[in-house]
Amino acid sequence: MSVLVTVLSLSALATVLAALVVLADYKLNNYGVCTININDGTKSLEVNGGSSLLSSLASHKVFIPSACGGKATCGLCKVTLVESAGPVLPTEEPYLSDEEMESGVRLACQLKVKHDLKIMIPEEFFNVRQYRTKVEEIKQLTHDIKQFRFKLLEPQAIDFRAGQYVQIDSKPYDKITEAVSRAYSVSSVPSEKNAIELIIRLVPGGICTTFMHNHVSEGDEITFAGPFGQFYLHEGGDELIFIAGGSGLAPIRSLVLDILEKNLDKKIKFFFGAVRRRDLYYVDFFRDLEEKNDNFTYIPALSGATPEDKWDGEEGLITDVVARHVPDSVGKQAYLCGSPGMINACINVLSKIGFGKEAIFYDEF
Amino acid sequence: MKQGPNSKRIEDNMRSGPLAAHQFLGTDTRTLSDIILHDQLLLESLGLTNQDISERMHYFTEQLKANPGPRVVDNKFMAEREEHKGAILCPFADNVQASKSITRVTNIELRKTVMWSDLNIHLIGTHGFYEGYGAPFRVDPAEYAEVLEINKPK
Repeated sequence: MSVLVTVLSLSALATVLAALVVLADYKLNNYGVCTININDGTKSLEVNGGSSLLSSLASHKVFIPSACGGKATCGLCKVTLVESAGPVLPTEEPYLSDEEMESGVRLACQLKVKHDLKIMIPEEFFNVRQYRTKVEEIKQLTHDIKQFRFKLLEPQAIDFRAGQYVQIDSKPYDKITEAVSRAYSVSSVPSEKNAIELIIRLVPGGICTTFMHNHVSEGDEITFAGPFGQFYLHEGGDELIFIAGGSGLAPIRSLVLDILEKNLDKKIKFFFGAVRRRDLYYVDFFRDLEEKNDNFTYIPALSGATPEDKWDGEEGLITDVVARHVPDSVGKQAYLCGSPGMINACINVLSKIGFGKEAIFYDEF
Repeated sequence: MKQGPNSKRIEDNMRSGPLAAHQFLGTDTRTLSDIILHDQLLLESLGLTNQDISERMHYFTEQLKANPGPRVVDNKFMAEREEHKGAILCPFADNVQASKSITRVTNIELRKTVMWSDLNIHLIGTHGFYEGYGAPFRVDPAEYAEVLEINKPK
């Protein structure tokens, strides 16, 4: 009998303690309704406090770029606070310069909305929309790269600049219980308004790329937000040096098609680096473009060709190939898209050739 | 082995998969503490430390950053680095993040290959965690030692 009384007493005590924890959590983490004032009153949002600034803004259709989906691993979701909202968190520090910290720049994914906020964001973020789409076509481009074509359902048209990216929303699958959003560059031409194409390489262990490669079929509905990014054609440059590797071909394809379609007076050299022949794709497509356009030169290169590849094109690291073909930087701009290692190596080589920082463009994700 | 609430939280984080699709624990039903302890005992029996393993992995990964290969290293190994955009957070919630790039090293004589992501170097060196059975990036400490020829210090 005494055992039963003890068990019941302990259970009652545990229940009371649990209720106290829930109550304390509700009281302490209940920030009520907070107002987010954007760009000196251009937009004012009322949100329930307690969530991140990034998700609070997204819930009101204000989309801030975030290639990692709010995990503080990309550093893209920078906003400027007009009034301080507490110290910068350790998770933000790697992405903020001293100057940015002093001027109130914070990562929206790490900042919790606990009271009214006044923030400044670039005006173009107001043009970002969320799109509902249907997967119209999936093409296997290489052993680990697929191309996805999305027909826009709502809204039915998109305006973007060649080189920009969108953020795809994944859905829970297998043991993955959370949806994430990840950034992918658009590979299709901006003049096509009712559909976009993305080129996605399978990253071993990647949540979104695994979702796209293994859990998405033609006919499925997918949402994305966009367009984002400043990796578009900038003023100046009579000759454009495009360098890409892997799925980095995507924005370059969009840029090349856009420039050729608009008949811009630019010379283009497109270097594409791969290890083996099996890693190359769109070769016939770009060779065909080269044949039809005097201003366009396509230079694919393999860094690890074997006899089975039967490769008679350029060989070596893409940086060495660029150095062989680009003798100087006069009148030139360089646009890079690939892995961080490739981008860093290319920047080093281009700097040696004479390219200044202002003439080299790349996406930081 | 009993584990504290912090280990339990980290383990839940690894199993629910908000950080990586492949799951750090794979199909392993042991607790996180048991997985780490088991590998630690195995490592001690080899006379090695987690740092011996992680430093050797770091050696190959660093060499491949400038030239991802595939190429022969030290006349004994065929090594290559598969570079990927993006970063992944350490599941031990220590604010460390690593690129998603992968290193593959084959011991030419043994014809055996091991593969790791940049994050594995940190997971092993700092947390003594080699991932659970069935996880794609799980490599047994003894296998690392054999393939990468990590010898007991004399």
